[in-house]
Amino acid sequence: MTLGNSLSVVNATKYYKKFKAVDDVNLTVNQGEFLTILGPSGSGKTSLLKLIAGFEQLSNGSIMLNHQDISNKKPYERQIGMLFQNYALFPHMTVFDNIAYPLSLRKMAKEEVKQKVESILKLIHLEEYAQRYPEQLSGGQQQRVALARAIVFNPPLLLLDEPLGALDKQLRKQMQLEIKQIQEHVGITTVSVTHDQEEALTMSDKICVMNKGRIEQVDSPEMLYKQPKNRFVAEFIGEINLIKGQVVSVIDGNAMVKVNEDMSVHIEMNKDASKEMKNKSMLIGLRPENIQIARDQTQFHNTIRVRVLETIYVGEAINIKTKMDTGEEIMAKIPAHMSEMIVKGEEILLGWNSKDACLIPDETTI
Amino acid sequence: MWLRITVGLIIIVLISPILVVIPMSFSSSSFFEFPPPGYSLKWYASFFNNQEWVIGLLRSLFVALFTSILATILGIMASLTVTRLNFWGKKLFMTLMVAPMIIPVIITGVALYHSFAPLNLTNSFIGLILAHSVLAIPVVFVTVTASLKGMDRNLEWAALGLGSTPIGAFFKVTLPLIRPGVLSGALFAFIISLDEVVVTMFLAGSKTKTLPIAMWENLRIQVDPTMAAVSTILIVLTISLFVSQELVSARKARLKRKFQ
Repeated sequence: MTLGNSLSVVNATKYYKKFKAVDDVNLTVNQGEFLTILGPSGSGKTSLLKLIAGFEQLSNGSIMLNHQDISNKKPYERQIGMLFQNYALFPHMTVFDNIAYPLSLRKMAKEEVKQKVESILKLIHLEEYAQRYPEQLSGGQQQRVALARAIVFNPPLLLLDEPLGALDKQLRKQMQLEIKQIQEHVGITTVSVTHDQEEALTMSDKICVMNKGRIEQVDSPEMLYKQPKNRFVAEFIGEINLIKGQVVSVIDGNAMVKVNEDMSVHIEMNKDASKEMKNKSMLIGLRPENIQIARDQTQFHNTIRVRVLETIYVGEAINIKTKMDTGEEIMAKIPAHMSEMIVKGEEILLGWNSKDACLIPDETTI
Repeated sequence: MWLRITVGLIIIVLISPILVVIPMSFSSSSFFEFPPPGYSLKWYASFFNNQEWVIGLLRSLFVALFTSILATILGIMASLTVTRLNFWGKKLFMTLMVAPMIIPVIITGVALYHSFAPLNLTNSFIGLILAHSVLAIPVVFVTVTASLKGMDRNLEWAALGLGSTPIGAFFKVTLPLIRPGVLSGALFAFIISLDEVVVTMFLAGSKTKTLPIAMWENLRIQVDPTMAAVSTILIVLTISLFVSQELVSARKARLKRKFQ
């Protein structure tokens, strides 16, 4: 493994006629890292992947792989491994020939090809299937063969295009772990594209959220979930309650946010949180699963009294829809065993600790 | 039930006039008679003993072979253009590509004669091959375009992504996958050339007289059952070509199933 096989996308812009599919994107993926580009359809994530692979040409900007500018190289000169959405296994070739294909293109000796293919077949546990045709394999097996074919020639970068889109839910979970395992084992720098947030959260070291051709946020899955930078990211990943408020003070990373005359909320932020937020109108982001039922006002840093509108049983938990006095609705996710405490139409006390909420810029006021 | 009977009747009406030729070619009579009074192979002997016929057949096979090759190559290129590229006037291009199928052949014949004569392409095999290709390319174009449209484009992307040049990807991935379409296109091109009369009449001369032309000329002077023998040979040739193609594809399917 050579060091420094990193990918940087610099000021990448792509127009299709007048439509800006990718808008001034800057992105760096470090050696060995697994980055997922996550976004709704039409967000430009697939365009960005095609630009990296070389199937589309940049209108502006550049793409660097291992400190070399590859923007003007043809796809077959880039030496990037790619896993396609529907695997794109060659139906007229056996599993062995499919995996050997990129090696034979590189004029590798037959013996060496055989040895490499066999060792990678072992890695994906398909030694017995070498002489089968792709159509004789299950979806998960085809997926593994496609992955093997994409990494067998030791490319510096692996691209995954909606890698699990064609599999059913059960298999998808299993393959997420398997792909991640193989990726870590090989140590290959990987960029994946998906619209499935769960897939992104489980597999990635870093997630890049895209919307309308632009990057909204690049962060670790945990940070993305805990500290979304804006409303789009907050709402796109998981469920979240957003409550409007006015920042009253910021002291040592602790913000005090006024929701209305009778209610203020404490939020614990990073130490480096800026003091400039003071007096600004912001959104308080609160994940339903961070809200709990409070015995009294002192159990949590923040409590509110709400009226239960609806309860929805989802197995391990109950989602409850509640309404504050001000009319704003709040969703909470309560462990199922606490269900007897909740009665539709009754008032209850909800609470959460100050580190469980976050502050998000309220774009509507800008 | 009635549908089957109707279809059966239509098939009989369509095919029986053609099949009647076969027993007549084995006739012992010197005239076209059905049913034949007796059986003999003398008309086949007459065919193979006549230089004119045999050379005509060889010329036809020669022209058909090269027409098939040329039309297939050019037809594939045109299909690739249409399925892989977007360009201004693509609809018009596609219409023009199939135009020779729609334009009356006699017009094509006159037109080719006038354009080939100054180039010394009349009474030459190259001229015949080019002219037959004009008629055969549309058929290849249609069958290959259909195959290409049915092919998963991702497979080509995958080949390029794995390090193949576009030409390498075409020969290793695209061509094997569209082979059934290419083979049937090539076969049709071969057969179109083999029995082409109208355009050939304008272009063929004494040194390039193909079998259908020899038959035509023979019909105008004398009618003897040699004609039936020639026809039978052509029918058998055509049918066996189609059957062998079917056999090849059936064998492939069987080989694949063996692994399941």
